[in-house]
Amino acid sequence: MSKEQYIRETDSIVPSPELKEKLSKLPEAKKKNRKKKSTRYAIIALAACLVFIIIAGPASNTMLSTITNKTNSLIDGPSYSSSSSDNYAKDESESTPASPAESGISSINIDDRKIIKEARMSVEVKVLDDFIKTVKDEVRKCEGYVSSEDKYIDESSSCDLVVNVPADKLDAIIDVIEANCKVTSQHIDTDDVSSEYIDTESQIKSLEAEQETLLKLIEKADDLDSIIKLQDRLSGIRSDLESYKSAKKLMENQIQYSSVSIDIDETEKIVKNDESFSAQVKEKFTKNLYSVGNFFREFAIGFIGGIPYLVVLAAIAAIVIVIAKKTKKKKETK
Amino acid sequence: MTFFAKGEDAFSYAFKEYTNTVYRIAVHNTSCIADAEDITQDVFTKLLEHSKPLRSEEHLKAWLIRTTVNLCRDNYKKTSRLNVVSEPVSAEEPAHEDSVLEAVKSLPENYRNTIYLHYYEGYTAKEIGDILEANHATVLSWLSRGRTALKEMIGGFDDE
Repeated sequence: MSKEQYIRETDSIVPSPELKEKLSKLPEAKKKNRKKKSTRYAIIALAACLVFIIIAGPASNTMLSTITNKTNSLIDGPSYSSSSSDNYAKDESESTPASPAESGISSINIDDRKIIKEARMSVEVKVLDDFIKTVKDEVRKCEGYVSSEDKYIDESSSCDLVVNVPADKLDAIIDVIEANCKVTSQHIDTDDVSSEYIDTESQIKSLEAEQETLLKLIEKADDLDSIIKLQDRLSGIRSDLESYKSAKKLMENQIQYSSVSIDIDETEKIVKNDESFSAQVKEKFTKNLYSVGNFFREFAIGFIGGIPYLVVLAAIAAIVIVIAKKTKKKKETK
Repeated sequence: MTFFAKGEDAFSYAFKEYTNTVYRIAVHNTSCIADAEDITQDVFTKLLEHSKPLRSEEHLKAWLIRTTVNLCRDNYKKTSRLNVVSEPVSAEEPAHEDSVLEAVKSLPENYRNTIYLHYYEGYTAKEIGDILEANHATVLSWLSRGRTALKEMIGGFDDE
């Protein structure tokens, strides 16, 4: 029985005790990270005050020494254990010196950034073939191409269509799709691959330089053993170089051409699957009931949470009223 | 029905009840255990950073499933771009030839997630559509095509 076997096999997939241990420590590590960030902000604020005071002049010498002492105590403050660094390797990297690739990233202009855009859409159409033809015509006009097309003619006719269009034509093709069907879901993913691209270019340059060096060494080598070892190393370098060049080419292609994956369902045959009137009414009623309940809950939270402000405003209002009354009385007695 | 004001409040409940679910989806959608573990960790980190309310346990579970699927997709895109192999990557475990799980894992993303959510987690097509943000009829198509593909691969998968 395949289904039972699948359930048994999936049951056996459980996270390791080490993973569970790491997960259980995440909230604690987050709190420490938050504390570290607020300490950093405090140091920056104190440093800004220091600069202001230096500019303000010698009259602030006493304040300056106090602030300097406070800054020093914060810098020399509590040290955090390295146990959290495993879980927060990515966040901790913010405080480490930037790698050459990272400092290269920060200096890239917005126009030079390498962006890959992908769109995924689920749509409903009246006539499947007409819609597919419309999309294909538009793709041809945009100088794009159809990457894959899987059509299914069963109880509900449908098609999985993937097209690639020049990145600057993505919005245009989406507009055409939206105008010719009912879109039931749409996602556009934007991936900034600038760092990966720069890393790949750096790897290519480094491997090419190593290749040059090896070729020169091979020319100068006398004994067969050395030549064989160098040739082996050269083969490895060339293989890696080809891989990186392919990866770069793939990225460039993905940057230049955006892919649009469209799941198309023909609606006329799908109408039978619609829920009954009573089920739809029940669902809508439940949703609206929840929304009303949520509104009152949010209102209560906002009102109770805002009581301190209300008290202050009420006090100010009371003072203003008392002053206004007294002023009015004085005017009347005059 | 418990209301969680933000992700941090939901963390301990999610860790106790849904760690296995998140991990299993990650294993279904990655090629190695290390990636699955990283993604599981990332999902729970995102939960801690999630500032919007989660109105019930079911809503929390749906959020976890959707986030895991999205992170697996991002991981796949990243690994397929930089597929530099200077040394052969050894599999953590040899794949069993008659494994239904391996057959499901080899299906396209939408089909395998739908098969998992329906047959293992017990969600209906409508519920799966809400979680994966897809049309109900589309989910039915994915389920049907997934079963057809499994039938070709392993000779069948019990139909309802």
